[in-house]
Amino acid sequence: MAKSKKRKQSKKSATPENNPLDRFATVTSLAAAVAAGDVAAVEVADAALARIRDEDFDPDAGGSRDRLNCFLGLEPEKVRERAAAIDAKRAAGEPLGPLAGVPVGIKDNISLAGSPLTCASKLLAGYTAPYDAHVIERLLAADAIPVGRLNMDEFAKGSSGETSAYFPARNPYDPTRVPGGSSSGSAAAVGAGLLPAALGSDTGGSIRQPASLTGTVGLKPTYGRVSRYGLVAFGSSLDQIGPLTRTVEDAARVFAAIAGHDSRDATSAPRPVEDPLPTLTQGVEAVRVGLPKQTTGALDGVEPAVVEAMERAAKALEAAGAVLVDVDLPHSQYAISAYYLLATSETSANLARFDGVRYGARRTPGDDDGEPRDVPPGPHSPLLATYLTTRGAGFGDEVKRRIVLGAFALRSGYHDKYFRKAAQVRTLIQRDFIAALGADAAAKSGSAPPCDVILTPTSPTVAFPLGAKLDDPLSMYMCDIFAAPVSLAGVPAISLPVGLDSAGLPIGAQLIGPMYGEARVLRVAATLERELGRIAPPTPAAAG
Amino acid sequence: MSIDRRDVEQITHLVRLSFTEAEAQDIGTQLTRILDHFAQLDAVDVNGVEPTWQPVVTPNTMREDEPRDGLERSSALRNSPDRDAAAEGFFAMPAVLEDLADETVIDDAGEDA
Repeated sequence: MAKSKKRKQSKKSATPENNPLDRFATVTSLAAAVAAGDVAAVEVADAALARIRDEDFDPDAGGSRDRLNCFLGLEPEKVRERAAAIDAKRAAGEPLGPLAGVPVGIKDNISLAGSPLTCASKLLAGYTAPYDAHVIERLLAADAIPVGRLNMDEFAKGSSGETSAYFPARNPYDPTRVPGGSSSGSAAAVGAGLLPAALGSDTGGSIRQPASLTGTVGLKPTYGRVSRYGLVAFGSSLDQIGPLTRTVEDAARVFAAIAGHDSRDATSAPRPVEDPLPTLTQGVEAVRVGLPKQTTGALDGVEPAVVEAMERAAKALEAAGAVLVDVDLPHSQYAISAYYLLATSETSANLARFDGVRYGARRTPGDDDGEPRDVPPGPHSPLLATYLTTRGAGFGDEVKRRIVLGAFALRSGYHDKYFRKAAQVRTLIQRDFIAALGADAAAKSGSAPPCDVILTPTSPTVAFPLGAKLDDPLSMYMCDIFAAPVSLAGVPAISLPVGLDSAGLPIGAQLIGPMYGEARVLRVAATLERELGRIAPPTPAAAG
Repeated sequence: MSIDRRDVEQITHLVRLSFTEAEAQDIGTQLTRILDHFAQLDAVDVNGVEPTWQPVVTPNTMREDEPRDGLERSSALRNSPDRDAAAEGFFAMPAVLEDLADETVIDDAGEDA
């Protein structure tokens, strides 16, 4: 499918965002319309299901594979039942939650009781989640409607969506290009207007980078802000769940619904969550926006259009009253190495559980794909042979590569050189952010840090063609060059669209705050969104 | 630092993976390239720097020792690959010992000895 040159002219005259049945209706307008009784939750759900069926995934036909490929699965009856229950609640005079009737897509690594869950891996084909993730409980309590299982890189390992064992999701702005990853289906579905919001997970950029490539807003909360209970673990010291939406206000609403302490996740932060909505319109007067000298201006591997978009974003914030300041993040250049060593080490431990004993697609020698996969060769017990075959045939190339890399970094004799060294560099990276932003958004005392938020690109490039980086893992890892330092430090960051390049592809800016500073980054992001205006949505026909 | 065939075989066994011949060659080449990039860390002075294993150190929190419902047995067994065993209320796995050839038993723990 060729790129449409008309994309940039697709400005809409009416205000479809306020029409609850329009594909680009916002979370905010949908929830208000359902709560007011202007539209039934069932009508909203049916409109979303019809769009998904017509343009992307038909559950009866098993899905068409030349579409955007956002969905791995969809249970329309459950969606309609849930919507009907919300309408019944309203008819009975009960108050509705803050996400009343809002369809929210779920990345396929988040557990929904009674529904399949695959992490886009063959190894989990046929698996059914036995319980709800904390974020699902919170969405249901807010009267949102979980819709579908969204495509992703296998076990969240990838930056393009292409490591999905099923099929790669595509970019709604140009279906010959990737939507980014690993939350590829979440970003593509929201960007295309199939859903107003989706949940993703971010370990080293997996919410922010696909948001950047698909013209959507993606928030990675502070580590520990959103419970990981029910999220399939990738890198346990890095993983966070967060929203992908089309507006900053919508991201704030979904974040407010899912954030907060949960005793079932031992790293869940036992502190109250500041409601980001009241401060969202307060502007950026005297807010100090840090521009790291390591990520500002022309840089190797960063597209000129991205550099120019960052300059426009900084000027727009300055025009709105912010003060631009230089900051120094001297260790961010080491983040990719430290991140991939730590994340793969944690992966090699976390993925040990997928062995085909208690769950998973068990394979024994002889029922694999026919190619001998026995390195090292040799006699094995039936159990060991089952492990080797189940995992060898069930995991894809990138997952296996990362397991081996992580195990290598953890191996005795190399542990200090790689794993411990990476964790020490992580300390230096975290110190850089504390020096720039302060240790905690709530800190009242002590000397003021040099800036309140930091502005960087989210991704060094716009969306790249399918296949461009798949055979070159290191160049794929470099997609995370601006996102990974944030993950290592544990601080919150948002990506929002700040423009289109000359080919009409979205460019995202990343705003980073101190620990627990989500309300602050959302406020600055909302200001930037107002100042620059929202980018033109993709042409829906591009999805066909 | 390069990862040779022997490294791949040793690690592969430790992490319970199997590779086809083509995969095994490919992974060694790619991991060597990746580790060459990671060698940039050698230049960083971390003398006296404590490692960070978690970005936030959450104090250990205790709760009352009250009984709580766990996962129902039927839910826990629902995804068992061996359906016959699950129907009887347990997980079944392939034999640990039978059919071992006598000459070679790879020692799980002794790889780095």
